Amino acid sequence: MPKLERVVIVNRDTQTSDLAVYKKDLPTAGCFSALDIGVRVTNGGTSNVNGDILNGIKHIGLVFNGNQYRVWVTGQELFRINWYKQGQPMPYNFSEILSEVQEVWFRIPFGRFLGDTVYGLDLSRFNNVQVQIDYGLASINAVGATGPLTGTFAPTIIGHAFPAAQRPSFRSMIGLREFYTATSVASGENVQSFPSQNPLANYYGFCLVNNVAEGTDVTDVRIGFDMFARTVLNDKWYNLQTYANAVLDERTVIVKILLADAQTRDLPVSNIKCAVANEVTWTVPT
Amino acid sequence: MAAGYIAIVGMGACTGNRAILHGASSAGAAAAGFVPSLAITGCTVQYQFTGDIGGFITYPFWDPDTGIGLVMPNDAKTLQVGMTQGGASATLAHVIEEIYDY
Repeated sequence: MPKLERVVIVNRDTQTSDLAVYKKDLPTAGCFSALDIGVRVTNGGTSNVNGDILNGIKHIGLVFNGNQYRVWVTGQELFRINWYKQGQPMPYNFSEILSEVQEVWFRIPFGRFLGDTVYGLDLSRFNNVQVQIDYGLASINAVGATGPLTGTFAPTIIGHAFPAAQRPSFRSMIGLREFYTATSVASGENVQSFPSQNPLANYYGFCLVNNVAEGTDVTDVRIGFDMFARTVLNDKWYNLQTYANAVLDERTVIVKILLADAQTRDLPVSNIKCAVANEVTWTVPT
Repeated sequence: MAAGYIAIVGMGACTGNRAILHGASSAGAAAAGFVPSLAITGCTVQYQFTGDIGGFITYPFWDPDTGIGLVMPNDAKTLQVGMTQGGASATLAHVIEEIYDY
């Protein structure tokens, strides 16, 4: 397997707009095994309490030939999928502290692993491949002194590329698409059909809500053929979550919090087993 | 931090992904022991939270080493996923990993 090269496509490209779809065309030649996308936002001059940068990434997409979305997922979704597939979270700096930079990275894999010579993205096969990042700083917190600072959204895009002399002949590439989203209701089964244009490899399910125990808003999940005449999965949410987390090497996120007593925080982790305070800095009353 | 003061921080009850965090200070002469003082505000704390990936499940169709298990388009036409709902206001989403041939 050839050693991959890291190709910086754009580096901390600071945007003046706080609400937009950032678009960046990829090169028209080259073979990529994965694409890393980093996003930075600076906190305001007072604080950014409970302002998770993940909430500001509405969607990350990869658009082929102008209209074919082969990747289209939210920041919250991709962060979790990356964590599951890699066993540990991508670099993630969630900070509430004034004027500090929050940063999170995502990986869009085109193969089964970095350096896969069977599955990958061959850019020469397309007229145009464009990265799209649909972002909104107001989804993090109100823009200003107590939220993200205006005009500080800055994406970075880095490709994991095969050397020009060792480009493989890929058989296929892997895409990742959110094909349905909705708000849950109090009862009943929400049934959706899968896309059927391409072979399906993995399914990821999400039930994102604050301050509700896991397995409450969705209690059971089933997947099956022919109106569930033949099921391949029929299980409780809490069992499926256990399986999803059993393979992880790292189950911890680090968050820098501007703490006042008895406040709450909403986190990307749930079923929290423990919280360890590493470092405390505060002004002593005199 | 001035001598004679300590900060005590911790975590209270958790529900799902929401944690209640607590902080208090103690003050007093070391010889007399520390005396509980006021709840703190504006305290910078680096927390490590350990738990599960919140609101996330997965089901792999294929074995990536062999390719066995891929749901081919003809079969996928009748494939469905059902979520039994027990509460309102959660954001539900389905994401699929697909194979695009060249």
